Amino acid sequence: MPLLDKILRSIFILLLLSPAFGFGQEKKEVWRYEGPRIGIDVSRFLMPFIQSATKTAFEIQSDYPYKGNFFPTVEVGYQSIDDLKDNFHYLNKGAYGRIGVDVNINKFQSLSDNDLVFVGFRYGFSRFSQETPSASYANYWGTLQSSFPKTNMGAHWGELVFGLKGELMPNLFFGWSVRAKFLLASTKSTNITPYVIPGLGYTSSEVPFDFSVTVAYRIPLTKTKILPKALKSGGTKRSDSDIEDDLEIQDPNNSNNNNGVGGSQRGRNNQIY
Amino acid sequence: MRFRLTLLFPAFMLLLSCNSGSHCYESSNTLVVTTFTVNKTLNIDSILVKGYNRNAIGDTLAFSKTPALVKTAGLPLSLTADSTGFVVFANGKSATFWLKHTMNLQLISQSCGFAPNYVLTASRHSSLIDSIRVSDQLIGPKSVEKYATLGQNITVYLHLTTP
Repeated sequence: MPLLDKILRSIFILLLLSPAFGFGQEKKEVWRYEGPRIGIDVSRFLMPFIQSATKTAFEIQSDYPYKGNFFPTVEVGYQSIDDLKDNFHYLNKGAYGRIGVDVNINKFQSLSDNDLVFVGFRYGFSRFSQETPSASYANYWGTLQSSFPKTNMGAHWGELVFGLKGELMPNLFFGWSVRAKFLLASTKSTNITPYVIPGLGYTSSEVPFDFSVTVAYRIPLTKTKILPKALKSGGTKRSDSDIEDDLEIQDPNNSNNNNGVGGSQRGRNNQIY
Repeated sequence: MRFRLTLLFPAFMLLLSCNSGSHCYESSNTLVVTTFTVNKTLNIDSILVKGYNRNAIGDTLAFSKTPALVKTAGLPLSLTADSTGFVVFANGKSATFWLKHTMNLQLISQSCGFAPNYVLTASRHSSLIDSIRVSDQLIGPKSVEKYATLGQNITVYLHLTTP
């Protein structure tokens, strides 16, 4: 308990001090920061405490903003399962990857608003191995003890994703997503159809559902004054009225905000540092 | 947004806890669904089925004293030998039949484990049995579902005289 108390205190102090982590933001000027976001799926660490099988897993997720509301995404991970039951022992381990796009459906309220509500899709693939060191079956005639050697397998699947991502502190994001998965193809095995596939999850359901809880850090490579438009009102294409909206959002206290009107001035606001 | 995140996160933790993968709801018992009949014209008054050379108490696989035209029993096959023998006692007479098979142990699911799947390749029988008809040579854990549809894997036609 003292450890938990210490952790909670640390989190509280971090939250209190969070405005201090500005990462170079000027106090009087509001910028929109963009860059690749790299995170880990912390739900993978919770699995061993919930599921019956001994499971080791980690997953790294990364995305990059494209035209404001689109986030091309790459996810890679590794999963190992050691499932010791009364009548069999099953081992399954392998690496997986997913590529896809998240589309933000949330309207950004201000330049500093980076919270996302997103839908997306993924294409996933996995290379894994499975092995059954022991399997037994008993009936009227006796008991059969058997084993099946290690075999290398592969699988491909698609995913539909819905989730939220919120900026808890500058550049530090927390979010979750729920996923419906569709197995497209997998290596056939005579004796053992894998009941779990790294990255896909359990295959007992025709449409396995999964979720992820992500903690991610955005590397603020660029800053801009452009507020992406919500997709519902015309996507990221911009009109003159949109430009006027942006000017209204800028901090009135900042005397340097003499951006004027026009696309060329907008380009000067994109800075790399 | 932070409020929404906080609010909905526990819901997903509940979803996470709904992992009910530890109960087996499928059949993992592989049986040959066998129908015994005398051309459906003569009642079988009583029937008892045992494994060949299995004469200990408790070795009875099926027993019925209710007269009926058709009797159905689920019979297990050997796990190690390539043929399995059964002895049938019907209306006070006994007969023997053998089923030749190949076997393959397959994983059913994480919760149910492994079960054998057989393919019947041949049969032979003693004189009290007229013939054996194979309706479905594939025997697996789902074969027991044939009970519900009044189906069978094999039909054993007994050669019983009128009492």
